[in-house]
Amino acid sequence: MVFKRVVFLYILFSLPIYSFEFRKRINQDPNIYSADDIRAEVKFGETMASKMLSKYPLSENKVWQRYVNAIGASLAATIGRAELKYYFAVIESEDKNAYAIPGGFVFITSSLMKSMTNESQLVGVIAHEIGHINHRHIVKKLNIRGQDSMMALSSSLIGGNTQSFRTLMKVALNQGMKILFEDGYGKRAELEADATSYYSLVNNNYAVSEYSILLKDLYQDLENVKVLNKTHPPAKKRIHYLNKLLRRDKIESTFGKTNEKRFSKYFNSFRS
Amino acid sequence: MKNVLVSILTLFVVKSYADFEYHKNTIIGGRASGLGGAYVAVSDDVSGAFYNPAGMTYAQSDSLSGSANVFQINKSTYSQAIGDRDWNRDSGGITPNFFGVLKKHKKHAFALVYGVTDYYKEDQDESYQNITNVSSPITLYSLNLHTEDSVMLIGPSYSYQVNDNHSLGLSLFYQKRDYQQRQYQHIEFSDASDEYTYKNLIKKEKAIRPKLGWQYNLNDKWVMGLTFAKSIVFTAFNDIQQGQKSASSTGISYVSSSNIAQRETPYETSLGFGYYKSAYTLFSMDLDYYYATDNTKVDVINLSFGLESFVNQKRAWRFGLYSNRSNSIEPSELTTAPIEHVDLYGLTLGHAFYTPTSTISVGVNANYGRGEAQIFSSSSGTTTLEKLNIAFVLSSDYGF
Repeated sequence: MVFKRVVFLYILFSLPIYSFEFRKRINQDPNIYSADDIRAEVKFGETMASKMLSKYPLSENKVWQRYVNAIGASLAATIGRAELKYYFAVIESEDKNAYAIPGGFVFITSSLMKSMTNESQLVGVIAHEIGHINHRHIVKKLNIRGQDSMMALSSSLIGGNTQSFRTLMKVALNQGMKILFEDGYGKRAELEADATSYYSLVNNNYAVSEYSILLKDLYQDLENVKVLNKTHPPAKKRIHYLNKLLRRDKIESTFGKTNEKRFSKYFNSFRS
Repeated sequence: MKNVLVSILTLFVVKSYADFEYHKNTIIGGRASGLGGAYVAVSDDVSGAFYNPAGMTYAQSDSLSGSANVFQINKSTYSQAIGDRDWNRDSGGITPNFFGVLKKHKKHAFALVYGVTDYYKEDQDESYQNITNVSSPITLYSLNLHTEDSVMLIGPSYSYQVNDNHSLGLSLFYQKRDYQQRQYQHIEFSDASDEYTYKNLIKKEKAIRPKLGWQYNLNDKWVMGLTFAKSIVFTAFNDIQQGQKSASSTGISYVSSSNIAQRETPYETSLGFGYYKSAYTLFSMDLDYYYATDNTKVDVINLSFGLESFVNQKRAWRFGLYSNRSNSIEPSELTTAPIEHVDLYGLTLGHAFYTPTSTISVGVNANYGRGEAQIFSSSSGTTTLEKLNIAFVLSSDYGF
């Protein structure tokens, strides 16, 4: 009798395993966002972008801004989220870094621009930031939602004009800025964003190797590496990941254009 | 000739709705009630403690849930029960029916639930004048009837996900039933004689109700659920006090008795299937079998079907069909009043509004049945009985 029970249980628990994920209903999918959620994201992003610009002013070089916007817009058209309008800008900062803000705002520091040598690198950087926005890295960390989230409850019910809303917004903004400048998105999120760079570079026939070179250079800068190490995985790991993708897709390391001439045309004044 | 009229005095020793004649009088929980109670293979929220505790482990988060029949209407019509007039028993009220909290920890889910699984309250103050088409004409017939019956369950529930395919669960409820019926009937005949009956009936019962459940994901679309349950009565108290005066006498006869006879409860098993067609659409079906252990009851099979369809991420419609069959034996020449046998068939409709952390469900649950009732103590004759019950359901869940 005991033997039969053991056999029965063995058979029962040896049956094929099916993930129970299929039981989730559409309302339980955390990756689905409503129009209200997107509005909340954009509203939060606008405020955060304002805060960013109050800290780091826009570069006054209109040629750079036009160029970054042109590259950014063409990338956003192919890899960006259709529901967002993207904004790209160069900001004045000594840090060599770029920032993605929810709602479609991408900022590249003037110091990082000066470190670049070709268009492949610029495309890699912009695509990386678009990747953060696409994956909603800050949105998810702060749980910015159109309803019921801390932010949304205030914005949707009281229109964002009360003291409590302003307090909540301030807290969330501070958390967002802390993610950008201190905590980072997390190593996994950075690799996800690097994957976006990789696909954008490959699909647009740009050299992935140039983006890897930029990463390597940035991490060799002793001043800058302190900043990067706080918020990003080590360069070695990121470059290894990009190489792994190249090998997987059987793409030569020499693959792709750099558009160095066009880049130089726009950026001569930048480096002066 | 007054025999028939005297029989009217005993007519109202009829069953109340919440008697244990049915097994599915109240459908607990907002989502489950929308699905017609077909929830054994779903039960992935705190109300799953009542349907299949094994499903609770699939709840998305800790939650706090409550639901209520915000308004319910019950109507029974005994055809031509008073002369050629129908006797209608109408009642309505508000019934809080469920509250529960669920806490998840990895593959474990714990819940504490409270539910009123059955509730009925009836107040009747009626008088009928000039009933002439009976053997002895009646000048005035008055009836005052108050019935209140409730079944409450409270207890913990536990669920464990053995692996991606299997989960097990156990609910252990303390069950308490309180029943009270008071009735006063007075008949004035046209010859100036009169008779009356006063009756007070109390039943109290306490039981332990374990419910064991299992769920199995057959593949990436189908889920099967299986449960076993039985209420084990450990204490009971029945009391009756009755006073009566007949038309032919001036004295009042009085009877009072009590006992502690415990009710035999059925063994209950439920088999359910859920078909998760997509993230938007879910079909569910339950088959409930109640094996009677009391020879005054019969075995019952109930079926229920549910459909849940999401319009979008925020809204979903739910439909349900179910049977709620009587476990009472059929009235016959061998039976004595009061006996009723009416199988009920119901439908449910619900609409749910979702936000990322909360759900509000509204719905309606209606059932109808037509059968036979034996209500005259001095006769084996039967009358047609129709039952209609409608409940409006409001439910709220908050996940955290």
